[in-house]
Amino acid sequence: MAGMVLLAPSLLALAVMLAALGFLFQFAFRAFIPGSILVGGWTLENFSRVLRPLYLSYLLDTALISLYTTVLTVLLSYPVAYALARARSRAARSALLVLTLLPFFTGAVIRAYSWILMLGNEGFLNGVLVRLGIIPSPYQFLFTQKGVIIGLVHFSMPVMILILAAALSHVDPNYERSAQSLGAGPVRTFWTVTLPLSMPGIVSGGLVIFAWTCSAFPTPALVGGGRVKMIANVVEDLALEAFNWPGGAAFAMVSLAATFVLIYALQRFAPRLAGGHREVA
Amino acid sequence: MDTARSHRRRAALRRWLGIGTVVSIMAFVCIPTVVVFGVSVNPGEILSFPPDGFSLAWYLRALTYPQFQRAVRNSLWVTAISTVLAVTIGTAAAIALERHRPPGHRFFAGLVLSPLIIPGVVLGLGLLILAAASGWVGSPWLLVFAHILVALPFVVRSVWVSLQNLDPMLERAAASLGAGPVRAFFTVTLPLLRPGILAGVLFSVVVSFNEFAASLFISNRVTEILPVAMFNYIRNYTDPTIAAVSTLLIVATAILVLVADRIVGMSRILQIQGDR
Amino acid sequence: MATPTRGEGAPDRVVVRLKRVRQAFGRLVAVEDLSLDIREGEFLSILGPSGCGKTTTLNLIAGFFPPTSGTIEVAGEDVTEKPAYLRGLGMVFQNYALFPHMTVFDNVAYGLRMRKVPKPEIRGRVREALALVHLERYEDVRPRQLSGGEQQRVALARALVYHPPVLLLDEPLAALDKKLRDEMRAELKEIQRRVGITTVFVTHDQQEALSLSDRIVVMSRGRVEQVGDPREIYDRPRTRFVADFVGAVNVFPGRVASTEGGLRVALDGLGEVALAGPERAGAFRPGDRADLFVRPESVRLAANPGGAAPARVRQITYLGQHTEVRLACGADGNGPGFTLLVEEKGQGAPPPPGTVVCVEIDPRHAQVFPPE
Repeated sequence: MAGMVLLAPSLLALAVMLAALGFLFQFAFRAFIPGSILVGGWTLENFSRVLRPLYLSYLLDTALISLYTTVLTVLLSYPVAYALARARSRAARSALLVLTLLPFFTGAVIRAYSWILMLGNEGFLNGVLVRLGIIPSPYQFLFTQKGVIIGLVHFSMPVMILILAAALSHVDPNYERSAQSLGAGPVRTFWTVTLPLSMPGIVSGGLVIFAWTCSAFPTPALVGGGRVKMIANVVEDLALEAFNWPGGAAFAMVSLAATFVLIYALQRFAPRLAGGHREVA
Repeated sequence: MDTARSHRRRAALRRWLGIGTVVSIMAFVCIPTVVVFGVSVNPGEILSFPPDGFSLAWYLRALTYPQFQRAVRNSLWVTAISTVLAVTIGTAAAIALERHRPPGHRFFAGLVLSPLIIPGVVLGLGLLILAAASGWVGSPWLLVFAHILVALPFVVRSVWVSLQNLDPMLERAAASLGAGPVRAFFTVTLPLLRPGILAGVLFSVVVSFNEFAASLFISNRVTEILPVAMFNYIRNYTDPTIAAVSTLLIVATAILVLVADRIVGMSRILQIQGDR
Repeated sequence: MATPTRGEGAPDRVVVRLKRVRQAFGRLVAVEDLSLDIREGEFLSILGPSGCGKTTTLNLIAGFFPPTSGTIEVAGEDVTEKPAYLRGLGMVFQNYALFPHMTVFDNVAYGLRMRKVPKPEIRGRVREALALVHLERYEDVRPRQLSGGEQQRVALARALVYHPPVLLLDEPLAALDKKLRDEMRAELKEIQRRVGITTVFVTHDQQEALSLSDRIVVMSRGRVEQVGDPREIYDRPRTRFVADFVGAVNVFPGRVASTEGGLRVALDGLGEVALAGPERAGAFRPGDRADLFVRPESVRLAANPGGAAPARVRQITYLGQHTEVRLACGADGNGPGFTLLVEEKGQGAPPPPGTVVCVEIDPRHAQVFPPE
């Protein structure tokens, strides 16, 4: 059938991808031979190494960092998304859109690097804070979890703004008007009408950002400078620094499993927040 | 009346507060870019802002650094080839899924979009292991393949949305006028898919050019693409060279985005709801 | 353009023949055992409510999918298995389906280009087709810049430019407002007469069908209810559905009193109506329940102080083309109520509420059908 012929090349590529994941899966169960990329026989040793407290702490760190990032991203993105969805002038909307999207198009490495410049001891943030007299001497932002979170929030905002703007633009402005006609002031209207109606978008956007942040790589690597490790950094350490492919594979699988479970749990909990069942965007 | 004036004042206050909030947040989004530029013209080696002077020395270093030159060539080559391939097979897949609906098409749709949710390191490590087992380690085609995988979901999605907006009666009208299926496709369907395909091209180029995580695992010094080269440089050196490279890339990206907006329109590319 | 030579003793040539065509989509049967001959040069309408199978029939003639069973012939050739792009027919779609990425000229030229007509000839023929629909100066315009009526005319020109043997129209006037629809209807008729092309026109609007067609096929639920010229369809509907669907109609329930030399029906609460002629009796037997169908222009309310089967006028509502009159049986108006549509044009305004009247029915224009 014509459909299958057209679909075949894509399916072939995806089949190879699945094969790669299969090899990864299989490697997690093979013994690591230090100093070589060859592997020994079947074993569960990798998993027992990986489920030790040190590695589990990395998982916990990742979850917490992702959580903080998600919450902060929602808080900062919402006003911009609201402005974008409700803006009446095309110029304003275009400007917001372009400014929001530009970082999105410039790539993760550049953005992580820009935060090294922002958070360094001679960087922008410290410069402003010291000059304004808010702090006496430069504060250590770089190479800390705080710094990584700031960088990740900045990284996630464009996507969150777009998701929220789309969700908000689907909220009929007549709801707000009828609330006002019934006597609700702008603040009450927002809390009782606009916010609840945009909840599904917030929740689905939040889940997307959370999942995405769990697998963040260049930002924690560069802004964290080796002292903040998220899942992806640990996998890199194991696989590319120690050439412990089986170990890296095992940790990757454990992390993936943990991430899926966490997201599944959050998704279950989400409808109560969203007030209805929603698909993840 | 007193109440009316105070209402208006409060409304104006609220308005300015809202605008102020949005402006501050957008400043947060934009300042890093300004800082990058500022550091790039710093004559000294320290990553300080504001810069102590103005110097283009770092730009010179960036443009003449051999590893960067090689990386840029690799990036352009890999992105060009993977984009052409991704757009071709992605468009075909979107047409298959929307117009032909073979059995199991829902599952295939999910499969085609799946690279989006697989973390880059997982994909990279998996491909590395697969490559080691099949002798493809160090091949630039491995990179091309990985880039096709990450670009495919974007291409398929863009073309699919364009297809959904295509009136199926148009293809019937072409048939009633004597156009066989192939001619109808090239004279009617394909031209009308242009916005979706162009959006797919744009996304594919951007995603591929910036692809980092998986590429880190499957490339070596010879085949590495620009983001990987930059990453390695940042880890080893702390001078403003990368700030110069970044600025050049940001300017290039801005031009690309503006050109794309001029040709097709960003709202159409992102398929955002129009004015309400 | 040659006009068909009818009435000269030459039998009408059949251009399209459908033989026992059946079309099922899964378990839904859209068209059931349809046989139809479409004659050269005629304007044939397929009329029916939505879901009756009329559009499916048109699509089958066009060739967008093969029938589940049965055969289709065009100009004597069996085209049942031929796909649409090889049948060479002309079609106008409900939403016109003009190619948005081409100018008006390119749209109209499309069919000629598919037939590899040489470029200089294409130019002349496109101009000719656009002149036919009075859009000569619109060659370089894009469809989105045109109004609905103009788009429709371009669609018509596009379908006619390569002189197909048959023109198929799928509810082409449905998207237009009333005034435009009336104008386009007249233009369509004029063009069809001038070009002389065999035309199949699908619509749910019975007024359109009556005013445009040489013949009408009334369909309901996949089956043909009646085929005939407009007068036959309107005056002598052969089934209850046709009587009800085409034109306004009044229905009087009653009982068959006698079938000798005709049909006499005793209407509930009103008098008797006698339809002359043995063929009227049909399969009825005395005592059967029957419904009498009468069009508004054949019903009269006569002032009747002491006549047989009186009724009292309760309420009058003016609807423009017809007037709705609510009555109750019996001189005192205490009997069961019923509603009538009458036509004021022929007989003037009906008597005011409170008047006792006699309902007079013209038996020559009445039809009787068994109850549902």
